[in-house]
Amino acid sequence: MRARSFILVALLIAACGAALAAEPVPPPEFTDTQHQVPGEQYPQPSAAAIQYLDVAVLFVALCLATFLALRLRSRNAVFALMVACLVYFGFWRKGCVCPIGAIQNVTLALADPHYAIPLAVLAFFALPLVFTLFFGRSFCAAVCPLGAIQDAVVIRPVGVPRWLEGGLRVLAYAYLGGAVIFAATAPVFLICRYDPFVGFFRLSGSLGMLLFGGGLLVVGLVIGRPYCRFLCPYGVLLGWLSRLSGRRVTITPDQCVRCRLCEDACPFGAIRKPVEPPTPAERAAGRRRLAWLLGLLPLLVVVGFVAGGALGTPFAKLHPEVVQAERVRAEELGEVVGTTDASDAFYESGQPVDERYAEARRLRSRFALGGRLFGAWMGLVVGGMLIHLTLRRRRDDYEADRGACIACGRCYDYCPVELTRRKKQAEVSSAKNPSAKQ
Amino acid sequence: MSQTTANPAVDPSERKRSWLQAAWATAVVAGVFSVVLAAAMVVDALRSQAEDMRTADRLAELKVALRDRPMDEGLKARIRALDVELRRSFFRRSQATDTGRWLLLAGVAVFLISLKSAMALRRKLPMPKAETPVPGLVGRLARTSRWAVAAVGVVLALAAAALVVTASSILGRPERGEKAATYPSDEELAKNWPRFRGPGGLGISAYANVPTSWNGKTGDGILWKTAVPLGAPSSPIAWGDRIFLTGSSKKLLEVYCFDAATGQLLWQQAASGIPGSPAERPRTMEGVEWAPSTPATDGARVYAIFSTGDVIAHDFSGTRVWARNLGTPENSYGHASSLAMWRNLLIIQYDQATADDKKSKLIALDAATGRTVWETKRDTPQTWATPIVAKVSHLQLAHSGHVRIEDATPGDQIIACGDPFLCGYDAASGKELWRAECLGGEIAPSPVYANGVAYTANAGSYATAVRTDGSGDVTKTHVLWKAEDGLPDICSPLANGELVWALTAGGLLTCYDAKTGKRLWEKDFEVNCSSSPSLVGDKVLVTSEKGVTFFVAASRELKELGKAELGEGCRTSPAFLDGRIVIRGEKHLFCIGKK
Repeated sequence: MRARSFILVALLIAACGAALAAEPVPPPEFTDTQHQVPGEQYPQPSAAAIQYLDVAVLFVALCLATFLALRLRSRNAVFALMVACLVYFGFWRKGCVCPIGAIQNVTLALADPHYAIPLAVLAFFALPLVFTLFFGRSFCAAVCPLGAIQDAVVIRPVGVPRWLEGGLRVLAYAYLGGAVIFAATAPVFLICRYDPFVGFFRLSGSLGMLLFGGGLLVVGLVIGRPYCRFLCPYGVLLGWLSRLSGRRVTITPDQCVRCRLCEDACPFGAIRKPVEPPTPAERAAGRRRLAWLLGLLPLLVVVGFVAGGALGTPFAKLHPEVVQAERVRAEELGEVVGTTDASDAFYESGQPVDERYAEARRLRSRFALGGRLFGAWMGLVVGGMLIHLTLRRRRDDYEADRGACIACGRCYDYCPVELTRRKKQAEVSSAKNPSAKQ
Repeated sequence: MSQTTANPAVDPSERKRSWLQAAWATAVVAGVFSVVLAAAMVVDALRSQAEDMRTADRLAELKVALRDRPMDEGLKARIRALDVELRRSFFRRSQATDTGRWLLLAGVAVFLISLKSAMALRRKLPMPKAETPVPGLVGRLARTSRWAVAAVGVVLALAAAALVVTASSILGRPERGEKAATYPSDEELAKNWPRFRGPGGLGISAYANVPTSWNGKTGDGILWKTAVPLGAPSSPIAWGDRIFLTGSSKKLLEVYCFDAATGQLLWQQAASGIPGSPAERPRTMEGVEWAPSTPATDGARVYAIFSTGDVIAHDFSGTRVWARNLGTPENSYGHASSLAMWRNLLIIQYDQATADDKKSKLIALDAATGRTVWETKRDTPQTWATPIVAKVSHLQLAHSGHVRIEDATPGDQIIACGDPFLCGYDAASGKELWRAECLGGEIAPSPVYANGVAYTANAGSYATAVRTDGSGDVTKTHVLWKAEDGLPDICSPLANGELVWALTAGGLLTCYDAKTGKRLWEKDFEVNCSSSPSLVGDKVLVTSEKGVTFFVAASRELKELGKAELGEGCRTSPAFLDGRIVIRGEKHLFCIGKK
């Protein structure tokens, strides 16, 4: 039955992808009639009021999520808020603006003095970070629509081996680095372009992206929130800040009794077992390894910087002007047959081809610089993660990982200490209000 | 607890089982509903692709038919009706799809809720086994994790390397082509007839041994005569054993290659499928059609331009080397300027629209690749003249007596007529060197050059001689003389350094002194002429639109030497080869010479 359910869901998602693909409408052909062809319509920017409403809803949702996860400790309430935020930020507001994409706006604002970042976008970027710094990742638990749509499809989660989880986490760092560098140098907004779920929120989108998003949701049936854990660039920032947070979700409200009931409660692999302190021999080996890795780190950064320059050409192919210039050149040389909308637009512009080629080369050199920075970043990430995995910390109880826990509250129901607390709380409430018993 | 007390007949486990069954049933129903709905939407989307108005075969066929019958109102009505029908179908389908999307979303939501509910009802609390401490487990896990991080890093690096290897940029190729550029020597150019009016565009034959009598009707003196598939007023060019022509019809633009020895048509290639080429032909003057421009060759490739803005290059075997569209020219009679060449550059005078539109330009393309090497804006409205390439030599200038040898500026120039300026450009860079205000009206005659002086003549302005060693506006400093007699409106002038000739469309040939501009003589042939006059040895050849060629002496006194008849009309200028003349009639290509 379980296998049939998975297949059914997979079929559903794949079929949705094919069914939702959008198609444009060509304009009417004739101009010798009285019919007036309406001019091109461009969507107006969102009114300021709706932007501020979004910010207000985000703030309230963050407050509620924090209260429900940390204070009320109710998974059901967190889930209800998550569904509400999925409907509002996802299906109603069409997944835009979102804090994940706002990384690029902030980056562009820092890199380009001519770009003025909207205050609402800045608020969307900053508010979840601030809340995470103080209260952990309650944003991921109940507010983020991308997380919510994945959380909604978790049916039968299986654990991902810790070692594999650590390795796959590199992908999120790579995505973050790529998104920041592309936003700063091109600018190309990778996160928005390759948002896997926005097509579902808008009930329309390119077939490729719908299939990609659908694939993630299919994987999400058994591996909880794969995008959040292995790809989300904003999750990297939240993870860093969550480690610094003063108050965050704990499995038990009191002393851990090491019953191990919570061991497999988390579908996101965030619960850590107790760790014994290292032996003197292990400590000595760890120090040697740490010294070796600290020496390797700058080497990785330099190698990445030097080799990354070669990425200029492939990276530049993401830029529409470069793509257009390459297409026009290919058409000139007769290497392709026919024209595209992009090359037609260029021919109609009347711009000399050499100007366009020069502009494309200039963009490519910028991408080459971006490639170097990306290579250096990846060297830093790999080296830094290797060092992080060398450091060993003592852990006495079962506890949620400071960076990985998304505060969903699933582990509460497994903890006998928590259940005892709830029972006592119910008894106190009953004692205070005897009529409620009847 | 209170519920159990209130209704002891209901067993909690039984109730749970009932809920579980209900959840499963709901999940199955919602799942099947969603799958069926999604499948129906997919089938509908696939089926509707055939009805897509962009690709509807029937509509496309009707549109093609409309090009040939633009005034067919019945055809227009059928296209409109079909267009409306397809549009209605499209929007009906869009509405249905939109409804289907929401239904599908609702179905999937119900399916997921019921499935999650079922899973929650089946959930049991875990029963962990006793944990057995494994020495060194944490260390091993950390080591494996480090290897995993390193492995992912390596995979990313390999993926990046694959990207770098597979992603090449086509933008870098022209530089390589440029370095390998080759071009014919001046001697090779002089032996052939590589462009409109031959080497330099001067209308002067390198051979004096060409025939002076022939009769196209009887075949006397005609080596061969070959029908040309499509007509056009473009002139023949020749290189070695090949002769090239262009032709056009309402549907076709073509380049032809003939065997110079036999007249056999070796190949014909259509200029089609060129990116950016306009779907609808631009309007042109009646009779000119779309191939009035004479092609050019560098001995390796032949280049042609059409009134659509299409430029195309073929090698001598007829294989297309490159093709591009320069943008449809805005020209009321159609673009008619012929191609010129300087070294490895194909020179195109692309004048169009009005001067205020600032669309006119002189373009140099890399002959090997078609890439634009330079482009210079021109302050002129549309013209129909062809630029010439002048090898401005300080020795020529000095010998002509116009300048002192130390003041002369040597260098290859491209000289082009415009309204109102005659301009000289640096051939290598396209930079404008000088300009003289001496022209006006509709500019069709091309300039000529001799001994450091450019000569131009155009109806509505003057016949003018301008020194080519100036810079900036040389109107007041370098214009040697102006004359107002016998100004041509189509045919280009002719100059040999001593004399200058101008031929009007009405057949009036006027001879000037090249140094003073004094009119020496004139002869009215009383025929219409489109062909520009040519100089062969000591003879000037003038060909009428009826195909009669008149010979006069290239001297300070008028001396008529005879005439010859082609046997059919002629609007083109002849090509002169060793002992032969190649000339295009209305329907045939003729080679005149001794058998």
